[in-house]
Amino acid sequence: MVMIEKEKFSEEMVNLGEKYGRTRNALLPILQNLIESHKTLSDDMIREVADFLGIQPAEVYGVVTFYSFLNPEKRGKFRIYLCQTICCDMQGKAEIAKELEKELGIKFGETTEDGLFSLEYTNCIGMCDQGPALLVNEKVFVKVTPQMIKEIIEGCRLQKKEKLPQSNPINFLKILPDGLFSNVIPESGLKKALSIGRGETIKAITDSGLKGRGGAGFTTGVKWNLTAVAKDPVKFVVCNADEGEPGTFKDRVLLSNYADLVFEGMTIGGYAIGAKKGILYLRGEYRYMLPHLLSILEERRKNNLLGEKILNKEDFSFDIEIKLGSGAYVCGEETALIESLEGKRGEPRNRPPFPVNTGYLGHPTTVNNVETFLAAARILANGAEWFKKFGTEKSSGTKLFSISGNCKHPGVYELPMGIKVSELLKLVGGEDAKAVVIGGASGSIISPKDFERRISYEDLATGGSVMIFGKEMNLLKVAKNFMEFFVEESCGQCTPCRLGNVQLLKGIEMLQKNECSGQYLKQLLSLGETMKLTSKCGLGQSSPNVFTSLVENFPDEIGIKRED
Amino acid sequence: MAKILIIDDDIDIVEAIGILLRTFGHETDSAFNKIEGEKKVESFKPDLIILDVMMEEADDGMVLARDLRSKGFEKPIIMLTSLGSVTGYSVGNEEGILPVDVFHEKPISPDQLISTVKKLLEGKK
Repeated sequence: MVMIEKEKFSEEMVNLGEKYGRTRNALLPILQNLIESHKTLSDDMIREVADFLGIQPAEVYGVVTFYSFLNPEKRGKFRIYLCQTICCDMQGKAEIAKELEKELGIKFGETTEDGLFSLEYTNCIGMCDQGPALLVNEKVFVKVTPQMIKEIIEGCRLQKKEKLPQSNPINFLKILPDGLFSNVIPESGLKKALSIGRGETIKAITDSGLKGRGGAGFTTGVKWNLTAVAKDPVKFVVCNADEGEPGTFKDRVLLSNYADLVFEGMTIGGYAIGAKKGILYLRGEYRYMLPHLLSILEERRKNNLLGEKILNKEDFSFDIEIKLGSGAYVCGEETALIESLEGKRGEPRNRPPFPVNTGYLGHPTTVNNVETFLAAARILANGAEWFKKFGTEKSSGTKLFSISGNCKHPGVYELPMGIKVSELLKLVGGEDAKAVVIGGASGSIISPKDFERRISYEDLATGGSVMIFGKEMNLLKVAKNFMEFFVEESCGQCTPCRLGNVQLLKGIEMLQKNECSGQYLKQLLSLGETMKLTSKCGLGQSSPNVFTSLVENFPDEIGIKRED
Repeated sequence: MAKILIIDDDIDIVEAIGILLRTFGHETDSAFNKIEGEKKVESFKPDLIILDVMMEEADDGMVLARDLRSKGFEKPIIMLTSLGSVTGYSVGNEEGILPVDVFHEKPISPDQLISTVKKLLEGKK
């Protein structure tokens, strides 16, 4: 860096330091700001940042190269990210990709000579019900057509927002009567919690049987209880809004339409466990929602729903801050998310210790999904018995399902837990399905023989993703798309996941070319089992699911018989 | 001498503590999970409970203690757990969020257990 640039850069760093602090956990927001203003993160900048935070340049470099949105290479003023996940693929991604390359005269991974545009593929951006979708910087465009590509590029070239086509996400949500969204009296859950006390608040959550809505299904009451009882005066509530599972977009709808209820649930969580601070970790792909969410937080502060002595409760102060992710699926795993919040690579931690005792910055931390917090707010308002009216004995309540793929009415549906797959298909106009993937890319692919099974924690578990595939769909193509996703998103920390996904992808490609023997298929299935048993976190433990269930449920589709 | 209920899913712990307490003249009964524990509190009417934390769920003991207190059970509860040695978890008891009288990490020596039981039965903590 030449002297004048260095001075200017130092000034920029001081400003960022004032805003985010000079500790390691400020690293991600600092880098996000720098790449926004400079469109690159050069080695000089990395050294300056390291120096500013008192850490090694290698640590900063490690973080920069971990997150896809922090790619240090020089990029265009307008960064176009086209979603490459299967649902967008099914809705015409290839045509859009071709149009983009034609209009810009560059290939994916390149930047135009005038430095105005760069073109990249990205994984699921949570618009599966209205693809093909793309991001231009943080602005989302849905149901993109070739004609819109011309308009988008023209609008960017003229640098006039009004010239850009209007294509905002539509947040379709079908709710149940008397369900989560009926008769909502603002803050009734929070008022109830503050009136009954911490112990009874946790008891209400425990009695409701609420389980984590992100997919893992851990009992929420247990998490809150263990965090509440942990010995530490400093505790945190973290809301996991990093929904990166392909085919999942319910949190997008909740944060767009019901953010107040989510923040109310976080505040109740903070009160119950004894935390003074909450953090919402928002996936980088949802950055467009940030101004909306910040304005709601500000409103809550004005209304004494955040800050000191909330609702005049003498001993309860709590506030919420939003931190942005930077494009890493694995950060949806709670310990990877905590690492990311701490300004590190989002690599899952060994457990124990568990976050309930040793979470964010080493303090007891409850990490729950967006929908879990919303449900908690409603449970406090309406009571545990109301919640248990829905669902099964072990899977109580209603659940939000993100429905995409070959069906007439994609969108988000609130349905009781325990619903049969066939009932759900009828509701969304997907009765002709050949296959359904329950639980996203890490879920299972089931055939019509299993359509009478129930979606619940005791049978087909899901964080909400339901992808429907019609008769014409090539399921090996689906499995390949998912496995490419996992190869890219594996954090690389543990061998079974880092290498196993690559081998499974190669295996699928061999199957596509009809070059895979029955004996080799058997070895691939054995590799899948090894990955499930030995991977460090849920990513590698579940990434073989679609492949193994495809072989199990669709032997005709893979073209060869396994040798048992 | 007192009636003491031992609630723990580890049969060896239940037997060992039972033998020890009976040697000192106490009457004991046992339960191996939360639901059974709740029923035994009703039927056995203990003067003191020795309660494990992790049974079927990781917080069963905590939930049971809170349930019993909210139902009006006022007798002493000793909570024993190996949570700390297994997971590094450390338990506090701020603002009565965990309504037990004594919290102790396993293992506990026989002398220590007997002396804790004695103190609690005499109304001391």
